[in-house]
Amino acid sequence: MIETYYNDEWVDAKVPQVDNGDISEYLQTVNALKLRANALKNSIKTASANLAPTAGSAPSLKKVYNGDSYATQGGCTDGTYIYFYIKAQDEANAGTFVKMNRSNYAVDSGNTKSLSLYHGNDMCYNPDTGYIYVATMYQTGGTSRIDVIDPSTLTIIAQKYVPFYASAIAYDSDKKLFIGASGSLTKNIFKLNDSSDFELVRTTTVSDSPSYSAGRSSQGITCDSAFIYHSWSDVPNVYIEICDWLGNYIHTISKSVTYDDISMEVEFIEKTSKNELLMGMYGAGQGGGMAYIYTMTLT
Amino acid sequence: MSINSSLEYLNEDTDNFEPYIANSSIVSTALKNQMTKLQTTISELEEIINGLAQYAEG
Repeated sequence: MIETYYNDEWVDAKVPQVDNGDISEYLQTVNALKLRANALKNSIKTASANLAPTAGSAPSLKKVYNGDSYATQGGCTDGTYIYFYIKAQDEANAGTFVKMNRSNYAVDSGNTKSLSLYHGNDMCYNPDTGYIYVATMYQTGGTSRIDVIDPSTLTIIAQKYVPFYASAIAYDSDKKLFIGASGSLTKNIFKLNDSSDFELVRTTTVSDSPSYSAGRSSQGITCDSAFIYHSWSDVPNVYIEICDWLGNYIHTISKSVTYDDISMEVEFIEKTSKNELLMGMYGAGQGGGMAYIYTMTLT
Repeated sequence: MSINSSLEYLNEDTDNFEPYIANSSIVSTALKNQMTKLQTTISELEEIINGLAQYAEG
């Protein structure tokens, strides 16, 4: 139980109610709130360190797609289908959006579509709206473009902008929150407001990210109710950096990944169950629109 | 607002308010603002704790 990680401060951090504007009561209340916040902060750090997965299964890749456009980029799953984008060599041109059966990796007739998603670096499925959100990496005036796709028609239904650089995107349906990440220390937490526009909620800084300091390439992200999983690459090495929603860095799972002597680069990552990560991969510099799936069991 | 930076003021010394306690309107406004920030932060921290609890039980 999570209460295991509460410390003594939590028990003591009872907050008195201010009811008459008396300064001493305000002071007492502020101090109690500070104590409670610090206790929560410490509890989160302890719980995260104890709960996070520490290892992943060895690479066992399956080649699932061969032959449209140029380079596999972002992807996601709604559980039934895996969606991914294969960008054109000149990303100003349209690439190929693929809707693949997750059960057998087959692509039914009509389930590929020529779409212009720029770099299409990462995407997530939002079960609350039923739409896919693509971090295109297209930037203008300090904003980044997020394309919204209807997976039933494979059409772009909206293009929205977030006020930060987002190269990767994830969504947690319990919190109703998106995460927008790039290759920096910062992760932006944002939401859809009542007007269906994006609204920044807060930023979280993973100040001791070893991947950032090591200069690895930032790739896709995913999340669950407890953790954010940020994939980074330094071909042929894949790094899954795990932090909590407060930005506490927990640790990194790393693997060297090859397929038929081709060095692999992770492109997208999806948390498909408590103990499973699905990763979309691409042969570095290979071209030819090929895609590979690496399903990692977490322990 | 960064949740990390919002937590920085947790370490501020509330005793700094003591010399100004005679000017109760300034002090009470400052303290009310701090209370509001803290309550928002605590809500966010509680949401994170709840997510960890959900993961632990899942």
